[in-house]
Amino acid sequence: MSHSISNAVRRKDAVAKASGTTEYLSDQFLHSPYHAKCFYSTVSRGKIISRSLPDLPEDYYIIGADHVPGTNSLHMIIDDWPVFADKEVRYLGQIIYLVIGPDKEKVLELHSRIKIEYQELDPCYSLEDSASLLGGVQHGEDNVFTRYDIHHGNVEDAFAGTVKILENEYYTGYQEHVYMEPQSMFAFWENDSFVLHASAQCPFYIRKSLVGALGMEPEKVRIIQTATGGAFGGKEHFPDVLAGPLAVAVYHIRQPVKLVLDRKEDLAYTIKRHPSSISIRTAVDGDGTILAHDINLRLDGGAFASCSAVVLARAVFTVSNVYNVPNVRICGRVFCTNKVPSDAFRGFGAPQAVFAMESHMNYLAYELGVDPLAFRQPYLLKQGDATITEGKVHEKVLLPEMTERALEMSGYKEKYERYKNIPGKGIGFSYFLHGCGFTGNGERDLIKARIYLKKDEQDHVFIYASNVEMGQGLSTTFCKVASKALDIPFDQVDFVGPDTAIVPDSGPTVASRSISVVGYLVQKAAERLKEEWVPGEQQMITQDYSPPEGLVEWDQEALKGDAYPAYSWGVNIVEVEVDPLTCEVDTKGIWGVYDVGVPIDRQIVEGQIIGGMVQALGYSHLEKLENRDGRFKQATMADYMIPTSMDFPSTEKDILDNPFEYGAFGAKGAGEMVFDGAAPAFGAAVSQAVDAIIDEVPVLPETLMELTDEGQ
Amino acid sequence: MVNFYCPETLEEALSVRSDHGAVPLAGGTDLMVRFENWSSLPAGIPGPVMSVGQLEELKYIREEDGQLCIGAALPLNQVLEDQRIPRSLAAALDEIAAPSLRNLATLAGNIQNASPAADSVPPLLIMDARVRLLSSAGSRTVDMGDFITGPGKTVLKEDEIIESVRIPMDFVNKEAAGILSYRKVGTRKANALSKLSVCFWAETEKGVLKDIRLALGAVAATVVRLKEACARPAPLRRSACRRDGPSCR
Repeated sequence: MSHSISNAVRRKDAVAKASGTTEYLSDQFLHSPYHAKCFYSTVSRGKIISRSLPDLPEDYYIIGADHVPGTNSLHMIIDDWPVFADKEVRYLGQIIYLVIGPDKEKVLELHSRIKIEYQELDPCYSLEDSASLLGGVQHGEDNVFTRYDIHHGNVEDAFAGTVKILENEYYTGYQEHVYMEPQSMFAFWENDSFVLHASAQCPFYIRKSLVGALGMEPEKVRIIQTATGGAFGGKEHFPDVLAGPLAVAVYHIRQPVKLVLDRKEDLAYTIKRHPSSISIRTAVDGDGTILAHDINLRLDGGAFASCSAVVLARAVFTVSNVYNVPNVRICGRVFCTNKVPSDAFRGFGAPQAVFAMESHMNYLAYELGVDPLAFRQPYLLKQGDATITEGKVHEKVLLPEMTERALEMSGYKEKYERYKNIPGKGIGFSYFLHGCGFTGNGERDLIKARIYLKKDEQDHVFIYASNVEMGQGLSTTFCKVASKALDIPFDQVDFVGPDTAIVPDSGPTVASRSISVVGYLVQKAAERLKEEWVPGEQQMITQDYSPPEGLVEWDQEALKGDAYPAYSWGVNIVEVEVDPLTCEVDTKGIWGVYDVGVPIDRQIVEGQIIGGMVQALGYSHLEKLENRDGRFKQATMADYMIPTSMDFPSTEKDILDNPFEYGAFGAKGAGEMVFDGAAPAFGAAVSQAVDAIIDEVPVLPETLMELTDEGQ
Repeated sequence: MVNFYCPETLEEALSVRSDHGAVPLAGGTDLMVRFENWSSLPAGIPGPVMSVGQLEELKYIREEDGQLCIGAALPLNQVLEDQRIPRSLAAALDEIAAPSLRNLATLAGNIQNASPAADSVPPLLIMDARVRLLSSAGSRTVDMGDFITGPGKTVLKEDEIIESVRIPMDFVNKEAAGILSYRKVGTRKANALSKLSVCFWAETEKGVLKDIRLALGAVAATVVRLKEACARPAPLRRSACRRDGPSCR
């Protein structure tokens, strides 16, 4: 069934963005009286033993830890990340100073004259370094930022009576966001308040992280989101890390200051996707049935915790993927290392988890000598099934229908059989799911989202929320939801750009929650406004979050209950050809079938599908990002290979209808799920083509060459 | 501050070059990236710079003394679109970066940058191209193989500029009759640096290969022409080569 709301409209931001008239931060504040440049640590781990600063001419400043008026920490989930490094540095690239002045050339010259002397300590560059507490413990007692354990069923008994144990380990690498607009902000002092314009996903996160550092009331700290040229999670918490030093500087100088990172700085020193190492031991009985998984899931968190705990939670709750296996034990840990912190990135722990489990299912099928697709079928989750957190799958699961559609679109079965006899050709399959909204009780207890709808005397309606337009189409989809519920034209509704002084806190723009959670509030508010509608009068509706009914209560201590109220689901198929000489992989076909509840705008969701797919295929085999001695080897866009439009064919796609009762007009999340399935499908395809197990992404020609050389 | 000169004639350019040692900058696609400065400050090129991209005298392709001469300031896309250039060179130029960059970059720049992975160099080596250098004092012509001496290093003197790249007409005329193969292995399908590039050309006579020419990029400190690999005692039959499959494509 198709819904009228899914019909594409012209996006609110389409003309301005396509014609280039949208003003991003650097356009909006083209000229600034003062410019800031970050001074970064040049060692991965050490104590600062001396500092030598140049004499400063008038109007030039070097701002550091000593200037912080409040506490020298940025409040994210915990408070470990300092505004400025003070006595020690924990990663190469940690901010020690901001150098500020009116003339950039002079700023640069002063910057070059800062000298820091370190007493270096043994840095931890690997999970093993961290686990062995190399150089002494850095976080807690064991260098583990967060640990989550899951015990579902009885894994010990299942392994005790088992016939066969199959085990393998899977690795995923770093990934850089490469949003088109680098990290950018502009700040000034107004009356007794601090005002910051920033390219960001979460204005209220920035405010929360600054109040402690500045020692100011939240009302005196105002964050205004500027047109944001892409984010992908890279502007979830990292803007806090730049806003902190900038706020301290403006607090002292009381002058407007602009801080924009160059692409090279952005590549070198901003947060990345968590590398993962996930080992799965599986107990199998005599019939080849899976009895239990025992999973050791490790993430490399980098130097500071940031939101690693939440990334870990999603990885842990997603790693069993779409399968109902009666006994699952998971030990999930994020380790502290001395590298640039890992943080949010589209998918948020799910892509790593899905890659591991889907690759493992292929490995099991291979070892058991059965067809990988048929092997999966008996385990597919169904409505009413228990989850590994003793919650429930509340919705109808369309995986059988989605599978059928994907097979039909791609010709998978025939190709899979045929390619068994053709070296160099392969086709691969993946299943995946993505929980919508914050994990566990987050929406109810932490976020407590609120939105306003305001109507003016011309009966024009404005949506007030803190979720941002960052290219994903939110300013359009929110307006579609409101106009549909109000039964008024789309043009009669507008979205107010987030500004913490004006909009209520409806939470961050993350976790595939904007449409599924906040969009639902927009719908409810619009329905109320319609009832109370008085033409020609100003009216205002406040709508607060209330959790969906019928959920299994979440217990954060025990990690039991419904981890998510609903899931988006997907099937991906990728077909490849591997050059026998150079081992270059040519992607020949890409297919995706998705359940996103109801797409609020078909064209926008298709844009997400294509973009997510290409970004994830880049992650699968192009975007190699190596950290060597604390520094990323790929320093420029000529070294770090994101896909071009030449690299992949277009994604053939379909979206199945499965309305979610508590999502805006039935919508579930779409922005992240579309990333989750490409890497394992690509890995499976390459695996068939080269007849070797692929257990790591990115899959590079060099690796394949080694694999096939070994094979020979 | 950077001293920047914009000569109007080649003669003026040569005197700026000899008087100030100004670095010639045509498209700037290598220099501006290499010396990129913080936050839109002028590029930090050490020493004075001289724009040469505007010099009409260096923007030509013509036959001269049995050679096809490609002027130093002609953007790659214009070289690429000229039907007179050898197909081996066209194949290589077509895979350099993207069209927008090729509208600025020049052949002379690609050579003077002297990257071990320079894409134009393998075909220029197999066709025995030469580089004509000019200074106020006079001119000299150097074999392509002698021009580049190491990564980023050439024999260009402080007072010289590259005037043109010269390809023997003999090769231009017989290229089509031989077997040509060019392959670039990049880091992705387009707009990529070379991990390896191979340019192969051979003449055949009655189905037998003779005069085999092979050059490899991105495998050594400079692009290399493998003369020894191509000097063989007995003639190699094409069919014998074919049997090895894709490696001889």
